[in-house]
Amino acid sequence: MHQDHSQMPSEAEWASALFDDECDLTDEQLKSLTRDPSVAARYAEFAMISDALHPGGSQQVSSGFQLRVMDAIAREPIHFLPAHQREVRQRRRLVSALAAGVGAVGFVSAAYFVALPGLESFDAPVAMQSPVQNPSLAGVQTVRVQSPWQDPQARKFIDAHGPTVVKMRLESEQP
Amino acid sequence: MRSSLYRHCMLLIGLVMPLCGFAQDRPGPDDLSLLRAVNQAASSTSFVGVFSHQQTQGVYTARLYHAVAADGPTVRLESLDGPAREIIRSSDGVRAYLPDRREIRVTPHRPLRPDFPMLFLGDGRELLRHYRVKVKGGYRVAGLETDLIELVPNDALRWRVRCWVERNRKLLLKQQLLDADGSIREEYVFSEIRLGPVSERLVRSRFEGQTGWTQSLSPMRKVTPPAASADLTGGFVLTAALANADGSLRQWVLSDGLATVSLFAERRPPAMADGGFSQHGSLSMVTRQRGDFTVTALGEVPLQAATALAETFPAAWLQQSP
Repeated sequence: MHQDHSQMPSEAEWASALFDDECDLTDEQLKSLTRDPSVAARYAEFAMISDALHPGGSQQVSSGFQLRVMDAIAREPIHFLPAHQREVRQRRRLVSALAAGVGAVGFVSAAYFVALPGLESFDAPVAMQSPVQNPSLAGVQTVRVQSPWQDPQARKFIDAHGPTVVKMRLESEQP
Repeated sequence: MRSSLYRHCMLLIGLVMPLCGFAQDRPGPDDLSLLRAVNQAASSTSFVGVFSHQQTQGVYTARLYHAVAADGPTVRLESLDGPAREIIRSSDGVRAYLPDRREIRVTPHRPLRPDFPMLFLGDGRELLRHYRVKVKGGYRVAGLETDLIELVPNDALRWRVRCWVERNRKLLLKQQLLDADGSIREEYVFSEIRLGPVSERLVRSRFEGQTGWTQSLSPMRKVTPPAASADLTGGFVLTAALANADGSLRQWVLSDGLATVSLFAERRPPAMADGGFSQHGSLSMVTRQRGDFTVTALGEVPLQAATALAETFPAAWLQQSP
């Protein structure tokens, strides 16, 4: 996807393109885009939908794009984790297309489909965290998306923030 | 004649419709009374109940003993899943009993935020600046008939909240946080509850009096809040300020009357800074480097709100010594 200022894509389109590794952006443009909370939120929704369809949490990342992202990370810790698993790509595109909502109705339906049954799927991590902290990235092959509950520093903050039942859960559910 | 009747009808509709809209949009005394009744029920009703909480991995279940005395309620929270844990909460603070470590963790101040089934802290007026109230009939929860109170946010900086309250007492039995798409981000719900007196011994820890336990104090202590007020993003207001012993970690607790966000600040060189954002269920966390400080906003709000608060939090407060 090329950046065309005369007809700027929506945050859903940007997020969809990022998710599908279809962005043709400079590192500066990529950094700028990933700082946009609305794009981030929409990307998180795609990740949640994708994770619900493909449980396991690990996603293979194309090495070329990942190296670019890693290079950007070295100078800027805010970024996205692109998903690029060939065998599931077509299905992911379908989900992205729904979520990008070329019809809003399509997206809402997808969100309900994924999020409501049994409340289990809102469990799906939608985190985008600096993989600089993640040793599994050393091999530049696998990125494991983490929730704040798995990060020691974040757990310290969550414990201070509360509420009481969450403090209790933190004590019970060690990463 | 027909034309005149038509004009009168249109005039009447024109007069009445705005009034209907006005009545719905403007928080009335009934909304405030209702919300206060929910909180009043949570603080004045004795009960024993089992509730579940879901925000992240799986469902967590706990038993809640809630005894009301002259000096306020005392609560014992007992984990039913995983390792045995107990938390005793009273006006004196919070004591967490960790039997596998034989450790008691003490937080020597009142909780900084409401705990289910308390809905909010404060008098409710702040809440009504940011949410509209809708009431309708609810379904049975834990065997009790309910009314459903929906708190609909006025902007995208907070979650929508659904509250099922027991029809007569208004005790909160089930609470959901939902995003704009209607997906549930967090849920508390009683699966069973017995309303009525609770013996004082039931709100004492069963580990109390055992020897060989160590006691540790929470590292975060309340400190004097900043003297200068500030307009914070989304109309959030400062409700408490805390710091650890050497002041290297500070926390500001912000609230919009319902949602709570904590802002944490640590002095760190920019080169060492971690950054990023994450979201899990209703919980958003955003980290930004602000000069010499790493600022983290954490709270049950959408990412947009956490991002905006992390980026616009007053620099003067960061610079001020705890």
